[in-house]
Formats: sequence, C-alpha cells, structure tokens
Amino acid sequence: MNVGTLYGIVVVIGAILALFAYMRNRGTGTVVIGFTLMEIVIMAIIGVINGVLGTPNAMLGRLFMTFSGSYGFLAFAAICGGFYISGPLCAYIIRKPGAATIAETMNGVAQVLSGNPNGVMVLGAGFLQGFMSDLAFAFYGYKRWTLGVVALSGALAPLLQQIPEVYFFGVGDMGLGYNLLALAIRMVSGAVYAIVLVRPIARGLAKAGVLRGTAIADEEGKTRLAGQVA
Amino acid sequence: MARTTAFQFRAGDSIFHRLDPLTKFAWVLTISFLAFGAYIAWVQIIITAIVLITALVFAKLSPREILRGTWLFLIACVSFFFIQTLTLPGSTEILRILDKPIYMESADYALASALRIYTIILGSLVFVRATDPRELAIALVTQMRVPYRIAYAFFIALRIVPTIEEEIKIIRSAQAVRGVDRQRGLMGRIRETKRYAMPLLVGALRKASTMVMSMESRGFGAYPQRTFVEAPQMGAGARVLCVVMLCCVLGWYTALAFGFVHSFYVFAPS
Repeated sequence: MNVGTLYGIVVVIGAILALFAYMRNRGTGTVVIGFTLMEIVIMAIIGVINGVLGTPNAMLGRLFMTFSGSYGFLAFAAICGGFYISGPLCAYIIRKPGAATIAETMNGVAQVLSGNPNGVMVLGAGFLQGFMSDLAFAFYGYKRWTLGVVALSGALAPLLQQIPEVYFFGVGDMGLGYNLLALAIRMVSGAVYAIVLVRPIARGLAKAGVLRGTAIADEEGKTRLAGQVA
Repeated sequence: MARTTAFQFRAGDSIFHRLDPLTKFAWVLTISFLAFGAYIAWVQIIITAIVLITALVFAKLSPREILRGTWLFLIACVSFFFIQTLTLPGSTEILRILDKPIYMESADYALASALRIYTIILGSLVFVRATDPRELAIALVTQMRVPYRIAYAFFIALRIVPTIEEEIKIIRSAQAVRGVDRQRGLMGRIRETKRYAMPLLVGALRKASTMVMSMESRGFGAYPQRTFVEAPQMGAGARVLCVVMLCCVLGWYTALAFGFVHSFYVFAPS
C-alpha cells in the first residue's frame, strides 16, 4: 500500500463517519439549528483569538521542521493540538451542530489575516478540522458532553486536515509508516490538548459570566442553584 | 499615545486601498497558492518582488512600516535560511565554510523556503493594513452571500484583535500590582501565556457581549436580509485582475502537475 492509498482510505473513513453522524441525527431535527447572535460572536471571538495565537505556534512549528530535518513534520505534529482547540471548545460551550465547524473556519481566516506562514492552506485545514471535531459530538446526538467525547473531538480533528498539509509540505514521499505515525501523533496531540484545555476554559468562562445564553452557562447556573461545585 | 499594532487597518488613498476587499483577499490567496506551489528559489524571488512592489508602490507602505510589521518573522526567516543551508543534504558543492560543504540544492531550497514564509506574512500585512474590516464584512454579505449575522460577528472579532496587545499590557500591569512577577525563559513565557489567556478571553468576550446587547437592542438580526448604504463593488478592472490571478494559479499548478516545472523536495528521498 502506498501513501496515496492510505489517504484515500482516510478520506473514505471520514466520509463514512460523516454519513454515520448524519444518519444518527437525521430523525432528531438537530442537523441544522440556528445560532443566536451571542453564540455566533462567541464562536468568532474564540476562533479568531485561537487563530491569532496560532500564528506564533505555526512559527514554532516551522522552527521544529527546520531544526529536526525529516523528523520536523513529526515534531510539529506534537504541538498541532493547539490549533484544534477552538472547535471542541465552541462545541462544548454552545452545544449545537456546526459550532466547531464555524469556529475553526473563522480560526482559519484569522490565521491567514495574521500572517500564518502556512498561508492559504490553513483556510481549508480549519474547515476540515472543525467539521471532523463536530462529528464526534454528532455521534452522540449532541447530548453527551463527557471528557471522552471532548477528547474524541480533538482526536478526530486532524483526520482529514492532514491531507492538504501532506501535499504542501511534500511529506507524501516519506513513506507509509512516517505518514501514519504523523497522523497518530496529531490525533493524540488533539485529544490531549482537548482534555487539558477545553473543560477548564469553558467552565472558567461560564463562571466569569461572559457566556450568557449558552448551554454551558445554563448548566453552570443549574449547578450553582443545586449547590454543587462544577 | 498608545503604540498601534502593525497588523491593523490604516485608512489610505493608495490603489490597493481603493480595490474592493474581496479582490484583495483573492490576491492574498493567490500569493499564498503560488508561494506554496514552488520550492525553487528563482520563483520565490519573483513572487517576493511582486509582493514587495505591491506593498511599497500600490499600497504605499513605507519600508519602515514593513520592517516594523515583519522584523520578527524576518529574523526567523533569515535563521531558517542559514540553518537549512548548513544542515540539508545536497550533491553540488558550491563552497566550504569552516570545512563544512555548502550545497547548491540545499541553498536553493533554503532560500525558497525562507522567502515563501516571508512572502506569505508580508502579503497578509499588506491586506490587513489596506482593508477596512467593516468593508470586508459588508463585501462578504453582499458579494459572497454570507449570512450577515455571521459576517458581523466576524467583524466584531476582528475589531477586538488589534486591542489584544494593549489588553495583555493591562493584564500584566494588573498582575504586577498584585505581586506577580514577570517570568524569563521559554518555559516562563509559556506559563505567562497560560496566565494571560483566561483574562484575555474573558475581557474580549465581555466587550463582545456588551456590543451584542447594544446591537440587539437596536433590532440587529430582526430581519433575514439587510441593506447597506455603501457596499463595496467589484469593478471591471478588479474582475479582470481576479481572472488573471485565477489563471496564474491554475496555470502554475497545471505546469507542476504535468512536470513542465520541476518542483523538488530535498527532504524526500529520490
């Protein structure tokens, strides 16, 4: 099997997962839900701030690639989780279909505008990683918000997103094992970043009272009323 | 007077300022596509020259402004060039430095790689400096048919970005008053970033929340469509420019695909 076949299989897996998520939510009427203005603004702010902060992260990635030679792409994969945060975070806060996709797409635009050295590639990458992040929550009908689902959301983000990078960075010629390892590292990185950052940030923001009208703010309010500590 | 961020819109009367936002965005995308499709130094030199000419002549940015906005990236790019030239493998030796051979292939790749990063960053700087975020939001609604609530939310977020630097200074001062010392070194900087991230996010969301309340109280979002008094239009010249840019990208990638232009990667085993 060559690298082209590998990524062909990855695309098919992505499509099957998307189809499965769609079938799972088809009868529930949750495929498309309108967002309030505040929710859209939250997605935009988180997406844009993560995007702007992602530019120094991308420079660090270039540094890794420069210093580590052929292993640079693998070293970069380890810090990629930082780019995937806005999707799971917005989905966890807003809890509506499409939140991760919109947030990550805005993240991509913000990265292009703030001079990300990976250029236009981050636009497509943003959409793909957000779309895959959304699927993790869609598998559970946007009803389960455990740490495991958040981790799955972070882990799925790079599944399709790695494909354009492989082309643009020219690592397709590095062999099957290299590409599989890069994908595995990215998925682990995405899951770890999501586990470590998503819930503490979302809870912190909800406690600060800046997420009014969102699902997590409602949950936080109920928790306080019940006298529990989140 | 507070120091303004380099990556921030400044009103002007240059040719680039007068172009509609979507044509300018198409220009950034074209530069990015062309720069990413070439690992050859001479191609990158031409692209860099085009972007520099656009910045200096068409967008009327001064060399000082360009340097102020990109000096950090410039240092990084120069470092990348030297490191890659010294470390990458090659076959055609051109000179020796301290008994270490320097190869033509590695120097060519390193120069292309460094220029590519700089070109993309400079392209973004030119776009951001010459494009009013409000006009961009309106163009997204009127020309790209993006729902206006999403376009305006993005506009709000873009308006907050230039204030981030100032916000970080305020947070730093507030923490210093409470006895939190600044940290040195890479790990210290990472810990500092963690400490600033939450207050920064809370501050940005609080500001946005106030804006949203104000907009909703004025009836924003009440209707599915929205009209604008002054919407940017893509003129005939801009349309021609977009077609030319599209042809350039398609032509370049077709040439690459059919092997008319040789794109090689030093890292990859042949």
